[in-house]
Amino acid sequence: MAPNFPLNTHFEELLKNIQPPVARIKTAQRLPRLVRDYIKASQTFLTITPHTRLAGSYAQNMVVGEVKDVDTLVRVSGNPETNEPEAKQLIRDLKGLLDGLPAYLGYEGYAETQIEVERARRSIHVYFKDEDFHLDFVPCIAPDGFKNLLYVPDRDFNEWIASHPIGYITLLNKLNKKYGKKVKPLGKLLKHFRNHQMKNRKPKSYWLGALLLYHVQTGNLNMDACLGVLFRDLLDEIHYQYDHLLWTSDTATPNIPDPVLNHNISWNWSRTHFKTFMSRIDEGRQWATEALDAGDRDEAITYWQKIFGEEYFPSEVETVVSNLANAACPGKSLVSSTGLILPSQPASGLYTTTQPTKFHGIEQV
Amino acid sequence: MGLSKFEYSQLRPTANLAIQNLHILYRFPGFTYRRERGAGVWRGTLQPRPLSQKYRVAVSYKLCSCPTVKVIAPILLPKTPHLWGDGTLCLFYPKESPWKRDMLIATTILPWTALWLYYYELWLDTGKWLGPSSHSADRHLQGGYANPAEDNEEIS
Repeated sequence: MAPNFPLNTHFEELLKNIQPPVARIKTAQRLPRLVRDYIKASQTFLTITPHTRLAGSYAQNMVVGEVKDVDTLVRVSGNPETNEPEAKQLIRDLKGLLDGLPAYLGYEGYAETQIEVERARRSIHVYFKDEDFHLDFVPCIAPDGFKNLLYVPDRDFNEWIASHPIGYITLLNKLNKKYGKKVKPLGKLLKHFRNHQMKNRKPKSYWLGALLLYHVQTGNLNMDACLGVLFRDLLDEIHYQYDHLLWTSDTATPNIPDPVLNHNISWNWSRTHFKTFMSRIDEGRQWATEALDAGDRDEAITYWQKIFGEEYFPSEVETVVSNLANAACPGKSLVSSTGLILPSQPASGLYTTTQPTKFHGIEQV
Repeated sequence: MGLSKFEYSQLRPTANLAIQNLHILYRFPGFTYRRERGAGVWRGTLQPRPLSQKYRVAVSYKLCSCPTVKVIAPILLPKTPHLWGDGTLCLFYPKESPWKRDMLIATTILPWTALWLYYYELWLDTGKWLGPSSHSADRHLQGGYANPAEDNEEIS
C-alpha cells in the first residue's frame, strides 16, 4: 500500500545531508593519489599495469557521513595456486615499501610520526594522523585485470584468497541503472541507519551492501515504490530472512553470500553483534511502518526522524520545495519518456518540452 | 463571403486516434493502447521525480471531446486539489485554453500529467499546491467534469 506521505523532498534532503563534506572528499581524492604514485614508481616493490585501482565504498560512490578511509588495490604478478609470491611475505614487502612513505612525502623528524603504517590481515593500513584519514592498500594478483576475479593475500592463512571487489561495484552500478537509480540511495540509507542507530557492534558495510543486492536481485523489493517504502521493505526482508536464527539457536549467525562469488562473507559475525543488529532492524522497520501509515505529515516526519536523526531528516522543506516548483514551470521544463520532470535539456535522450498550462479546479480544502 | 468561425474550425486538421497513438508511443514508449467503448485508452506509468514511486495512469480520448486522465494507482490522498468531480485530473482550464482537435496528447496531456504528479508530490510534502493554478469564478467548472455533456464512465 502506498504511503499517505512519501515525503520525497525530505528524503532528497536526507540524502544530501548524509553526503560526505566537500573537504573530506577532496582529501579522499588527494591522499590516495600521492601514495599510488609512490607505489607505481617503486623499483623495489614491483607492480604491473595498471598498477593500482580504487575499491571499496569510496569507489562505489556509497560513502555516507565522513569519508574515513579509502581502499586501493595494488596489482602484483604471481601465481595464487603455488603461493608465489608467498602471501605473508608479499604483505611484509608492501609494508616495507610504505614504511618509506613519510620520507617520500617530505615528513621529517617528529612529522614522520604523523603517518602510521601497519600491517593488517589482508592489507597495509596507512593512517594520516594530521588529517585523520585512513588508507588501505590491498595487494592482489589479478590474472585478467582488476575487473575480473582476483586474489588477495591472507596473512594468517598464508595463502591467496579469491575476491572480486570490482565485480561487486559493476553489479551495484548495473542494478542501480536498471532500477531508476534507486539502489544506491537505498544502500546509503541503510548505511546511515546503521551508523545512526549503532555506535558500536556495527555490521560491515560490505555485508549491508550484499544484503541490499540480494534483496534487489531476488525481486523481494518493489523497485517502483518510493524510497521510504523501499527502506521499510528492505528492513522487513532482512528481519524475515534472519529472525528465525534468534529463536532456533543460541549461537547461529547469518551466512551472507558474496554477491559475486557466493561464499559466506559474514563468517566472523559474532552472535551478540548480530543480535544487536537485528534489534535495531526490528525497531527501524516498525517505526518506518508507523511513518508510512501516518495520517498526518508531522507524525510521519517524527517517525522518520527517529530512524535517521533529526539533524539529518528535515522537519521543514518549504524553501527547497518552492525552488523545485519554480524549476518545473510548465512551458520551460521538460519531461522524459518515463515522466521525469527536468528543468533543462539533458545532453542526450528524447525529452518533450512541456507546454504552458494552468491546473484548474478546486484548490486545497 | 468568408467562412464562419465554426466553418473555419472544421477545416483544422484532426489528430485522430491513430495519429495520437503514433505520437504517444514515440514519446512515451512504455504506454499501451486499447480501443474501449469508442474511446482510445492509453495506460502506462509515470515517475515525475527520481525517488518517486511510479504512478499508473490512464488517458481516455474520444474525438470531439477533451482527453481525460485518471491516476489508477496509487490511490490519491483525500482532498487532493485540481481534480474534476469524477476524480480525473484538471490539467488545463478549458475556458482559457480549450482543447483543440489538432492537439497532441503526447505533447500536452501526458507532459501535463507528469507535471500534475510532480506538483501533487510537492503538495504532499507541504500541503500547498505550488503549480500554476487557474481559479475561475465559474462554479460550473469547479467540481464538474472535463466533458460535462458525456456520461463519465469509470476508467480503471
